[in-house]
Amino acid sequence: MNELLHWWNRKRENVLDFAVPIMAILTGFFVAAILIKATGKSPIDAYRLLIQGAFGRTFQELLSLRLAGEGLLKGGILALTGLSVAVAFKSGLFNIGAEGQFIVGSITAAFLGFKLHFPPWINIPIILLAVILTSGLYGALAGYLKVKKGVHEVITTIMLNWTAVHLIENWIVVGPFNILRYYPRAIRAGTPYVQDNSRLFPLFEGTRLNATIFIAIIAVIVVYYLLNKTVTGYEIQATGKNPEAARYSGIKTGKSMILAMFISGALAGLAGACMILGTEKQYPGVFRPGYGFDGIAMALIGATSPIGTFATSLFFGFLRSGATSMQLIGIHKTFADIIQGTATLFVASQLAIRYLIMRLEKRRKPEVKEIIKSEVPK
Amino acid sequence: MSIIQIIISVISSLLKFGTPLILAGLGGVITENAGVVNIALEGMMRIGGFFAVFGSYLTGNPWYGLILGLIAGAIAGLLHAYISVSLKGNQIVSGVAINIFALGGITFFLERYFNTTGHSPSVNSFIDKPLFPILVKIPVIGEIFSVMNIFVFLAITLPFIIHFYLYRTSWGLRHRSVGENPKAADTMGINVYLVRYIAVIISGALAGLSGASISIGQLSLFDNHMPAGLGFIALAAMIFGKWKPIGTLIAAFFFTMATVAQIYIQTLAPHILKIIPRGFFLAFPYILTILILAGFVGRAVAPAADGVPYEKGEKL
Repeated sequence: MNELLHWWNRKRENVLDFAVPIMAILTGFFVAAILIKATGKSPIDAYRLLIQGAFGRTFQELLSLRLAGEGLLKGGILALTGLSVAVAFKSGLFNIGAEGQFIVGSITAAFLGFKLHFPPWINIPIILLAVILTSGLYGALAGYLKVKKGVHEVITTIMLNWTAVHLIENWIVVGPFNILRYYPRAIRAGTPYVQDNSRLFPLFEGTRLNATIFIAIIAVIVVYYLLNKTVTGYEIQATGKNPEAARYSGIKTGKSMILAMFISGALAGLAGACMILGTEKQYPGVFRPGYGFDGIAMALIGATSPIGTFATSLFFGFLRSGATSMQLIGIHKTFADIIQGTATLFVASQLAIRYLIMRLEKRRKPEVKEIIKSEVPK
Repeated sequence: MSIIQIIISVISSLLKFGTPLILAGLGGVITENAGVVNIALEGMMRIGGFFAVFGSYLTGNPWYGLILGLIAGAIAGLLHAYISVSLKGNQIVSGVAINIFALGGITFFLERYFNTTGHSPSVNSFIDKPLFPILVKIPVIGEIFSVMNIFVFLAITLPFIIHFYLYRTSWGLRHRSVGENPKAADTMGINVYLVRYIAVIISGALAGLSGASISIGQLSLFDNHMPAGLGFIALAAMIFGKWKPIGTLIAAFFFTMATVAQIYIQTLAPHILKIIPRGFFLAFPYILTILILAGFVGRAVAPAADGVPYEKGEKL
C-alpha cells in the first residue's frame, strides 16, 4: 500500500495527464449514448456505425483510406487550431480568437491562391508564408494589447473575431474581392476560385485527404521542438507557469507572450489556408466552420501538450467523419453538433475530475498543501 | 417620410433591437460585479431563446414561454456557478464549455422536438402585444409604444432598478464588495459563495430572458443560428458601459445604432454604403471596444476580483 502511495505521489501528474482526457472522453460518449437512447435508437448500433463510418468495414477499406482519409483530413485541421490554442496556453494566454485568425488566414490564402501564377512548389510555400504572417500578426495584436495596454486577451480576441468576420464577409468577400468582379456570370457566392497551381490536391484516388495532415504533423513537430528544446520555448513556458518569477530571472515575458500569440495566430491561419487550398477552393460567402472554437476543446482535452492535442484532434477527426454514417439508422448528422456539445463536458469534467482527486488527497493527508494545478492559466 | 417620422421610427428600432443586448449586458453586469466572468452569455441566450419558444409551443401562452426561457437560462447559470464557484474551475473554460454545449445541445432539441435543424414552427409570441395598448393610439409617438412589449419595458427599466440596487442599497454594497475584495467581504461576514451563486444564476436568467426577447419578442420562432453573436456584443456593451448598468444601457443603444444606421442607410441613402461598406458599420462596435479597452478612448476598469476564484481561508 505504501509503495502504491509513493508511486502515486511521484507519478501523479503523469497519470492524471493521461487519465483525465480518457475519462473525459468516456464521459462524453456516455452522455451521447444517453441522448441517442432518448431518441429511441440503440447506442451500440450507432457507435458500431460510427466506427465503420470512420474507418471502413474491412481491412482493405481501411487501407484504401476512402473513409479514414476524411478523418485524417478533419483531424489535421483540428490539430492546427488545437495547437494554436495550446501554444497560447503555454504562455499563459487564452486565445479565443483562433476562429478570427482562421478566417484571416483563409481570406489571405483565397486571395493569393487566385492572384499568384507560379509553379506549385513556389506558389504554395509563398501562400503559406503569407498566411503565417497575416494571421500571426492578427494574433500578435491581441498579445501586444495585453502586454502594452493590459487588455485581457479573452476580450480582445472575441472582439477581433467579430471584426474579422464583418470586415471579411460583409466587405472584402461581397465587395472588392467578389467573384462577380472577375467572372460576371458566376452563380456562386464568395471569392474567385484559387488557381490549380495553388491547390492542395487529394493524395489518393477517391479520397479528399490532402497535404493538410502533413502540414499538421510538421506543425506538431515544430511546436514540440520549439517549446521543449529551444530557449525561446523555455521562456514561453516559464512565462506561462509563473510570469513574476520569469520576469525576475530576466526573461522578457512581454516578448514571450506576443511571440506565442504570433505562433498561435499563424497556426490557426494555416488551418484556414489548408481548408481553402484543399477542399473549399474559394472563400465562400459565409465561412465559419467553427474549427477555431473546436481548437479550444482540442487543446484542453489534450492537456495543452502538442502531442496530446494532436492525438485528441485525430480522435475527433475520425469521430466527426464517422458521425455522418449514423444517419443510416436515423440519427441525423447533427450528431456532429452533439459531439461538440459533449466536447464541452470533457472540458468541464476535466476540471471536476482534477478537483475531486485534489479533494480526496486533501482528505487523506491533511498536511499536503500542494494543489494540483491544471495547465489552464488563471 | 418626414424627419420626425424618421426619428420616431429610428427610436422604435433602437428599442426593439437594443433590448436583447441590454438584458444580456445586465446579466454580465450582475455577475462580473460579483467577481465571476460570464462569457457564456451567448450560450445562455441560445438556451433561453429555444426554451421560450418551446414553452410557448407547449402551452400556447407566450408568458409560459418567457418563464421557461428564464428558468432554462438560470439553470445554465447554476451550472456555470457550480463550476466556477464551487469547483473553482477556470471561469472562461466553463463559459466556453457552456457555449459549445448550447450550440450542440439546442440543435439536438430542435431536431428532437421540431424535426428540423433550421427553425421551429411559429408559436404565439409577444409581437403586436404592446404593454400599453392605449398609448399606441397617441399620434406620432404612438409607434414607440407599439414596439414596447414586456421585454422592451424590462430592458429600459431594469438598468435603473439594478443601478439602485448596486449603488443605493446595502445588499448592493455587499454584492460589489464580493467582486472587488472577496477576502474583505468574507471577513465582514458576507457569504461570498452565496452572493456569487445568486449573481451568476440571475445573470443566466437575464441572458435567458434576452434570448427569449429575440425568439418570442422580435420573432415568433427559434432559428438555429440564434443568437448569432449577440451575446458577445452584449459582453462588449457591458465593458463599454464600464461594468455599470446604466452605462451598459447607453452602450447597448450605441452599438445597436451601428446596426440600425446600416439598415436605414441601406433603404434611405444606399449610395453611402458604396463609400463606407456595410462591413465597417457592423465591425465598428467591436473595433471601438478594443480602442476603449486599450485606453485610446477613455479607460475601462473591471471589478478588482473579476474572474478570480475565491478559496475560503486561503492565505494571501
